[in-house]
Formats: sequence, structure tokens, C-alpha cells
Amino acid sequence: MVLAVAFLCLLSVAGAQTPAATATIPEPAAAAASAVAENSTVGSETAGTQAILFQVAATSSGVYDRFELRLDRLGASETLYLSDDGSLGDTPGDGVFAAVSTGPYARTVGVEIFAWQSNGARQLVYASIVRTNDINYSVISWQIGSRPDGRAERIATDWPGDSTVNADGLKVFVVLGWLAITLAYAGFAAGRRRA
Amino acid sequence: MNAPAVWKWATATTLYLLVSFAFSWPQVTSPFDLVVARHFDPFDAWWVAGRPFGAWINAFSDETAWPLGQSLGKADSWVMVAICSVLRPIVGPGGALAFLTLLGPVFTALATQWAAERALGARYPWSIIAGITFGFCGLSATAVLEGHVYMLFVPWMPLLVADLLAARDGSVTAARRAGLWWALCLLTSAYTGMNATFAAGMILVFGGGPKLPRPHLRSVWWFALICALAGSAYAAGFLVNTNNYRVASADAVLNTVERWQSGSASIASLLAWYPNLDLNLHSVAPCLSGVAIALAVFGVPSRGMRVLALVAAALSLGPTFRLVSGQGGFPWIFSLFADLPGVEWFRFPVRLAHLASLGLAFAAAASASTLARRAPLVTIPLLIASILEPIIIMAMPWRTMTAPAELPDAYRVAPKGWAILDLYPRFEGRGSDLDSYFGGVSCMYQSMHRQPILGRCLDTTLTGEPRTILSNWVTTRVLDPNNATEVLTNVEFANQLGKLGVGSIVLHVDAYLPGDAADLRTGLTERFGAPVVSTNGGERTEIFVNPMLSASPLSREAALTAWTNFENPA
Repeated sequence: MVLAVAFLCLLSVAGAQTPAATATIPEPAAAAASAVAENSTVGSETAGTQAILFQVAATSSGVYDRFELRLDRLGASETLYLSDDGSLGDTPGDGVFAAVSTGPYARTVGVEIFAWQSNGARQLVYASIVRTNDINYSVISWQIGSRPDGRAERIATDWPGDSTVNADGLKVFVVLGWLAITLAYAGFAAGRRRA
Repeated sequence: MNAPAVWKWATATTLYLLVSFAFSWPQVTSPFDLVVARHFDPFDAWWVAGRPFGAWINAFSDETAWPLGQSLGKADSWVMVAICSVLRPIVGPGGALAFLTLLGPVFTALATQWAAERALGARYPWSIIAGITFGFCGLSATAVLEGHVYMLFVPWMPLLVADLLAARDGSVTAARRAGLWWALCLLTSAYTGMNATFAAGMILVFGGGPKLPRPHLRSVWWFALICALAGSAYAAGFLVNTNNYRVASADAVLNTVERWQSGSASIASLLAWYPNLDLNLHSVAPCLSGVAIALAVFGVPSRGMRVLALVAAALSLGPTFRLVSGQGGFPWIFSLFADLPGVEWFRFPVRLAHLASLGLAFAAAASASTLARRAPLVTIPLLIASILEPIIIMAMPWRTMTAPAELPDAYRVAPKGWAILDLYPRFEGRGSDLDSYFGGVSCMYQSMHRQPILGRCLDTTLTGEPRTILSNWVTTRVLDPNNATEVLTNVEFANQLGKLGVGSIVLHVDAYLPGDAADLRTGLTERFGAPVVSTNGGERTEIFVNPMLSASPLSREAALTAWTNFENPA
């Protein structure tokens, strides 16, 4: 109870300094429909910068040798060329192509991914709206080769930063190792007690 | 309380607070206006926390799902509603949710520690293992990520077990308290109530272990009486609000076993988190504590708690025994119940893993206390490892994501008292979580602009809600007017929306592919005039104000009549 009261006091004090999300929204100067000017813009952009790391794992497809990603972020278009040369601190030549885009925070972005074959043929492998998830940094990943139609499929990733499915398996092995160690240690401790 | 006791509880509280701050980081840095989660439900939770419902059980919001309204009967947690009702006027909805996120696990951990000491004889500091193991278990991480923050505030579960075990001597007081804790579990959520019922049933039938026999019959009668009264009241409320519950949804095409599979644990997810568990819709990662499993396996006492944990973990696997989620397996316990009537209400067998964590927490703390009597130094690494586990095994806080709770400025020009139609596209298949996400964000916005909206905020069923129906109507007439059932002039189009009480349409531009957004903008501009545009809160928002509105807002009754005629044209 003391903890709860202390927490409330802290929040109340902080709330006096920080505008809460429920703060009354200022009344518009002219809310009536007739007052709406042509394409008038209100407010300002959310402060801060959001980096988005795009990854396409083509480790098993063997068909495509480069990828181009067209990004629509808050109306601004950008073309990114994904690379697998290790320039982003990842492993070069591992089949995971990546690029980073930096800009104002967007809840969702429009994404089109084109894959290029070595003979110069280009194919649209993904087109959709994608959530970015985080206000500062997001990792958005796809995998090529898992679907019979050749299109890219969203996969999970973001920690510790690799997008291949094998990495998911590695994490399971790490945890199984942790469990094995704790089991062995607890067994050792129990054995000492009985001894 | 003597000085050593004060020191003990102060130390434990500080430790739990630090772990909690790390667990849900960066929530503590910005408790009012930052949504720290991963999936779509935190935005609906914001709506629950931010809506000033006038009454309790029969609370009803006219201004949601306009003009039909939204009953609070679908609320997941009455405990959360009560806490937010008290805290919202003081700290706002963000502060109320932050209270549950940051302090909920602390209260739960303290109660678990206390219960482990009282009921199972665990000794400090080894009883901390119990607090960490249950207060910061895998399903606590899921609660943070899915926005079900009421699941973090469950001190009643360990207290229920402690008082039921204490009732073995026939204590009526302990039995009454146990009944109260059971009722609070039920009011926290239906799944917590099921876990509490399961735990109580196990203890009433088997007791807590060799030295912890079953409760005395006199206590059982008192406990049963209180549970019957509270349970009947809850069931009555549930039945009264049946019409407000899920009637059909995107996964209605799945059979019971398939639905259960998506909400069940696998052997891998019981042991650890891995990224695929967070990809879509939910984070079904119960992640039992490795240290607690190790201590429970090698521990001598508390056999009853170990059995409780084992049975609950086995049930959490659902209808299929699988090594890894999303892969094949063989039929398991729940598959026996798939054809029973009414089982479709139970969607997430994985939630039973919460009880497995509680059983493990008690067993581990008691076991560590026994080990430490002879070899305290050898036991210390296990205590340290258990404190680190929420970070190592559950990967918190790396799994949390943040989003601002910021209202797009364009909403400011919405005519007061008139409903706002939030226009989003429909997403199907694996993208269907975007449907729920946008619906949730729209609800969070409502708690800020406080105008009526057409979306539902407590029902994951999107089909049949006024927003979806009217969005389809508007989109068809704007993008493809020649194929609409009737051809409307711009004035007729605006008048029809005005009759329904819709004062403005908010086009969420970034939810659409650029070509579709441009076509909608052109069509709506032809009918309503140029929009007011804003770019904040992480999105471009364009609001088109209905030019055919009367001076005063339409009453809900008039809009309701118009809606009935709209849905059932003569």
C-alpha cells in the first residue's frame, strides 16, 4: 500500500510537469466545416528520428542476387538497395541482404520489394503496409524461398539481430544449455546437501 | 514489524522494483505518453483506462461503436477497470496502465514470497526465488507485450494457495480469505479464475504435499460457499452480456483444435523465448524458469507444488504435443475435449502455464531453502541466476516495442458532438493483426479526442461493427460509384452520413498503398471539400469534414433509427 501511494505521488508530481496524454486538446480556432481551408495543415511532426533496418534473407533461394526496396514513409518515397557486403556490421555473403532507412517516426510504412536475377529479370516479391513497432529503431525482415510462389514472407527477428531461421534455433540451443547448466548445478548442490 | 523484517521487505521490494523497471523498459522513463508493448491490445487497454464509464457492471459507452454503443460487459478484467477508474483522474490513462505494468509484478512477487515463507516454510532470501519466478514469469512478459497488464497484478493467486494450505487446521478465517482471493482472481480475468479454480481443486483433493494435508472440511465448506456466491454473480454478468461477446471472427473458419493450437505452448516455448513467438498477433511464450525447474527437480519438499506445476504445464500444451510451435506433433490432453459444447470460449490453453510458474515458484523456493541450510554458498549462484532469468530466458526488455500515445492534430477540427469515421483498409490472412492494430489505435485516439467513433473497442470481432460496415459503404461509393447499389450525388452522400451522425471522415493515409490513398483523397475531396492534414503521432492524417451538418449534433436515438434503416433498407 505504501508502495502504491508513493508511486501515485511520484506520478502526480511528474504529471504536473509533463502534459498527460489526456490533457484537454485545445479547441480549434475554427472547427466549423465552412472554416476549413484548402489542404490546410495543422500541428507539427513528432520529434525524433526512427531508423528502420530492412533485411531480406535469401539464404536458400539461390535465384536472386540483389534486392531493391521502395519505401513510402509519411508520403516521402525512397529507394533502398539492399546489400550483403557486411557494410552494416553483419556477416558478408551470408545471404541476408540489408539496408537502413532513417527518417521521422512512422507507425506504418509502405514497402515494395523487387528481386533481381542474375540474368537481369526483375520480380516484385512483396508489396504491403508494414508496422514499424518501435519509435526509435525497428527491424523488419523477410525470407525468400519459403513460399512456392517465390514471394517474400515476413519472418521474425530483431535480437540479437540476425534474421535467418537458423538463428532462432540457436537461441533455443542457448536456452537448453542454460537449463542443462542449472539442472547440473542444482543436482550438484543437492548432492552436497545429501552428502 | 521488527527492524530485520522491515529491512527484509524493503530489500525485496527494491530488488523487485529494479527487475520490474528492467522488465518493461523503457516504460518507467515515460509512464504517461508511451505505449510499451508489442501487439495491438495495449491500445484497447488505453481506451479502457481512459474512458469515463458512468457506472460499473452495466456501464455502457454511447460514443463507441456509434450509434449502437459498446457495453463494458466484454471487459477482460474488472480489477483493471476498478484500478483505472480510481487512478485515471489522478494520473491519466497512461499513468494508470503504468501503475499496473511497473508495480503489478512487484505486488505479485511480494505476495508470492510471503506465501512461500508462510505456507511452505521457505526462508529469506531464498524465498525471493519464488517472487521472481512467478512475478516475472514468461506469461508476465506476454502480458507486457500483449498489453494485458492486469495479468501482472495477481497477488491473489499465491495468497489463495497459502490460505488454502493454512486452512488444513479448520481455520474459518483462512477459508474466508481464500474465497476472497479466488473471487479476485476471477475478477482479474476469466483465465486467472480458471487457474485459481484448478489450483484450489488440486489442493482440496490432494493437499499440498506429504506435510501439507488437505484443508479441513469445515474450511472447505466456507471456501465453497464464498466461491459459489462470487462465481454465481460473475456467471450472471457473463450471461447478461452474452450478446456483446464474440459472435464471429476471422479465425471462425478454424476448428477447435486448430484454434487451440495457435494458443498453446510447445516444449520449446515452455523452456524459452525465440523470435518467431512474437511475430504475429500474440506472444505465446510461457517460458518457465530454468532455475526453478532445476530446483524443483532436485528438491525434496513440496511434492504437491511440483505435481501442480507439472500438470498445469502439461495442460498448457493444449491439443497437440509439439516440440516447437507451428510444427507437427501428436494428439495431447485437450484434444479429448474438442467436441464438448461451449469449449470455443476457451482459446488459450497456454494461460494454464501461469499456474505452472506458481507451482514451480513455491517448489523452487522451498527447495532452495532446504539446500541452503547445509550449503548456503553453493545455493547463492542459483538465487543470482533466478534474478537474471527474466533477462536471459525471456529476453525482456529486448522484446518490448514503443509507440507514442499522441493524437494526430487533424482530429482537432472534427465537429464537436458528431461521430468520426476512421477510414482504414481491411487486412486479411497473416496481415490481419493490422486490422486489430488500427482498430486499437483508433480507440486510443478516442480516449484523447472524446468524440464518438464507429469502431468497437472491447471486441476483437471487426466484422459487423459500424466502422467496418460504413467504411465499406464509403469506399465503394468513392472508389467505384458505378458499381454501388445506388448512385448518390455529393449532397446525398453527405446527407446520408449526416443522418447517421457522422460529422467527419478521417483518412489514415499511411494505412493504404499510395495509389489507393490518392484515389480516396480525390473522391472524398469531391464530396466533402479539401481536407485538413496533419503529420504527427507517426502518421499522416487527413480529416474531411461533412459540409451538410445541422447546427446541433444528432442525438444517438435519431442516429440509431437511421442506422436501422441504413442496414435494412426498405
